[in-house]
Amino acid sequence: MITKQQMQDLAMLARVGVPEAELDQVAGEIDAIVGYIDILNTVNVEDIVDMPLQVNVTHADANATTTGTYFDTLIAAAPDSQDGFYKVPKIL
Amino acid sequence: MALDLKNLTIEKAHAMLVAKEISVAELVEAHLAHARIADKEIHAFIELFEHESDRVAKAQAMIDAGTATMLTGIPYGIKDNILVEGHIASAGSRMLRDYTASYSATVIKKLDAVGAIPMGRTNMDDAAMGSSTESSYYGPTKNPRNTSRVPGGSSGGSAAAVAADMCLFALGTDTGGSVRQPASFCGIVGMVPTYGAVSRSGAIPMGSSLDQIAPFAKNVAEAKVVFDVIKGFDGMDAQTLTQETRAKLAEKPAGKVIGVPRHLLEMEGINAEVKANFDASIEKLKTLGYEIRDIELPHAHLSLAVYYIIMPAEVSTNLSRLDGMRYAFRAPGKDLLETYMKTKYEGFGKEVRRRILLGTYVLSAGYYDAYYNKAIKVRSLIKSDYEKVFASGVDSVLVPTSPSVAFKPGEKSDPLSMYLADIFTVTANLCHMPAISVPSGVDSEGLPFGIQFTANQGMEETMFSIANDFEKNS
Repeated sequence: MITKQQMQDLAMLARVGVPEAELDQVAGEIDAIVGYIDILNTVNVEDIVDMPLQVNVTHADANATTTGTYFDTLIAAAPDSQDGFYKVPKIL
Repeated sequence: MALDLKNLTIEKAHAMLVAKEISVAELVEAHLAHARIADKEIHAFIELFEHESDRVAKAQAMIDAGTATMLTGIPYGIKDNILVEGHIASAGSRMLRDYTASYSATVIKKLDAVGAIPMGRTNMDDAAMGSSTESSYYGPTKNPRNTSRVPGGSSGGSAAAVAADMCLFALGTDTGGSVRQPASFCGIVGMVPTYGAVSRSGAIPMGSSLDQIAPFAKNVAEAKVVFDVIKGFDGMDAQTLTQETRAKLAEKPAGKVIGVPRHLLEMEGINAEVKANFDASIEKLKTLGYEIRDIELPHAHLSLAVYYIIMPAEVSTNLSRLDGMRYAFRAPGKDLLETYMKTKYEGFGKEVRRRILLGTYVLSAGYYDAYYNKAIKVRSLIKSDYEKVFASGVDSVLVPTSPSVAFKPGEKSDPLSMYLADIFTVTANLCHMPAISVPSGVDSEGLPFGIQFTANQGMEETMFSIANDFEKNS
């Protein structure tokens, strides 16, 4: 069972607000899903060497466009901006 | 002239365009006019593109110059999580409600190059998370086959748009069945390609080891036409396969052996009529000269559990970028932390928030080994089950697309019951295999069934050939 405290910690970790009134319900839903995925505990995977389906692929970091081409478009997409800068809440 | 949109296909429209019986403008306007009226009830589209005259003119010029190909001038729908430059791409979410794409997805550029006409953005579950299109920020879509039912999801708008003859094909994205399941519910064809066959550049990511862009069409041959246009290596998606890799993967013998994992049909929650329809489909394949072979996939029943660990883990990672700082929605709070928390709470619907939380849970230090690490190991076990089956000479594995026909809105209100709708579709994504859903008749209430053919990696040609045989004899 996921406790209320664990649920609050999880919400903080995920940066997703979960109002006090919804904590129990969301915890119950996560519990039910975790109960279902616990079926994997029936499988012994000790000897299994993970065979990754994917590998990291890197490519040359070439400049795809000229600096500044998308400047106005991208700043216009910001929730808040000032003088061509992103405007964000104070960090410190 | 009045067009018979109901019986119109890409092939027929192409023939009429080339023969100058209709113009591109007339073909597009006929679909728009139909959609303006029919979509009042269905709600397949979030927005119709009414001002594509440049693209229309370019397509008409290609036809007039004799350089038209099959998709030139053909109107198509685009799931709202695929970027078209200058248009909003919201992923059906409040979070991206006002987000305008600054570039076009690679698939859109490829379709532009052949002169296809984007007709609008189609409805979808919030951030592609759902199996019914009920969780869209813009309200639900109805199933054109029976408006008291859901169209499936998450690409429900694309499926409904094609099924209701509002466009001739549509693009969706498939992370765990989000093209195949709605195709099945709406009685049309939908597929997922081999992972890496189609570039995801310009698709809003969900689960990056699972996501693929894929077409909906009215028949198998036309799904193949679209796939052939949108596939190919792209430097903008590092996971796309090169031509050489694709050719190598396709160098396997192909025959007429269908593998049937009957044990999977014995799982709980599979509708009796679906099972009967499945048996009837097997009989039909026998009469078409296919060898039916019983197969065992000992770990396949674990697919859904594996999927509901890996997918939320990747979702929680991918969606962390939507924090309300550089683009998209922001709900201001008293400080930075509260702004983050409020932005995600108000920007995303319940299901998206639940998956972010679940993904964070399975990736957290205390549970990483128990869940995520275990899931990736079981994933490789499931993959090796399929590899063995294909190595034994099976060409395609047959299962129903969905454990039920289209259900009613609100019927699956608890998350787990909704997740079970994906039980037959997630495996292809987990194992990077191509799969296609083909209509296989209707139930006692006239609701469509879908049958799903899964093939080995890179073996789309075989998959299309078998699916085509099945469809032609329906």
